[in-house]
Amino acid sequence: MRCAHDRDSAFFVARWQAFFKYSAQLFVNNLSMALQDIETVGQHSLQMEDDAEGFRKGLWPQRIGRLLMFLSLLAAAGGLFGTGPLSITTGKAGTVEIRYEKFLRFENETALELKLEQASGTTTVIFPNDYISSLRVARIQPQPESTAIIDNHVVYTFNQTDKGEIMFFISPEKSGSVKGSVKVNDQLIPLSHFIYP
Amino acid sequence: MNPVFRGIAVYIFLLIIFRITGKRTLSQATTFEFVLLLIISEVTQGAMVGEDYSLMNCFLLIMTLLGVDILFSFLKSKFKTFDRVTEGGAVIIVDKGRPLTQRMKLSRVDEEDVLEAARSLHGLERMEQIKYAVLEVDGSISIIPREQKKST
Repeated sequence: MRCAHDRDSAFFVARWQAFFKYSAQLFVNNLSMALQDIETVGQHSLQMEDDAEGFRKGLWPQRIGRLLMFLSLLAAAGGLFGTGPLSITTGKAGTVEIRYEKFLRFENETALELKLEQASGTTTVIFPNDYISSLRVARIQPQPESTAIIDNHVVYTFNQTDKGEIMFFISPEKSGSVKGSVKVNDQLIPLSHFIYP
Repeated sequence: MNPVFRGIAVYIFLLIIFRITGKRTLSQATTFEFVLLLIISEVTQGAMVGEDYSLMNCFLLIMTLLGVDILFSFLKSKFKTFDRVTEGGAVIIVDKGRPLTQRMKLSRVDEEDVLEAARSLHGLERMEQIKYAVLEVDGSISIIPREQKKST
């Protein structure tokens, strides 16, 4: 069974390698074609300027632009612009684990997932006010027992009798780099995001 | 983000992306390309408007887009280089019945496209009947037929 799985993986890897090799070859061919001189047109009777020189000059930036577009798409598929494996980050401190997205998009709701591996009766989750004001909390699941603002921090208190998860659904309210932290029952985990406009 | 900056960003992004993809992109308006165009406009509208459906936001965005367009038109008429960079120029792709294959390949036009334009515009049947074919700035193909020899 494992052998068949390995064979399948190797097959897919080989296919992807072939695809990338073919794409790279296609791009190199295209680029080299763009570098060659194009046909010239002799005297013509049209009252227009044949923009062959401008056309030739524009081919290079166009090809580079297409390559950048292709690379951006690959990066986006991987999650560099949010929602993907490159974006998902985890942080751990003691019995608390947090899972969140490093790359966010403006006003695009995402989840900040807290995993509590031990029952502690009451759980307090504390965010600095600066951080929480940049990322509007749209919903919290489960609902906290109480919310308070203490010493420039937002404090959420939950009743917790078993291990479980707390989800904060956040919606970025500003773009750029946002750094902050979350303190869960005295265990501090730093958080860092980059928000695309 | 401020709607004015949103509008400017979207305008410039669309200008760059359509310049990169080439003038033939979405120029033929087949059914599929028409649907694609609608999807692009829908996506653009969503990003520009965001969650602000107010009348003022709508007015600001329309004024921004038209304002940037007027500014770009002015710059294009003043500076020839700016015009060439942002729009490109017309290119001859068939010269006295001879297809200029390299130019055609690089601008994603094939002989079939030229013949199709020749058939639909002038009812021409063969490549030799075309004097010039020009790939225009808007991505369309203009055909100038050869002059027919007058029968005596």
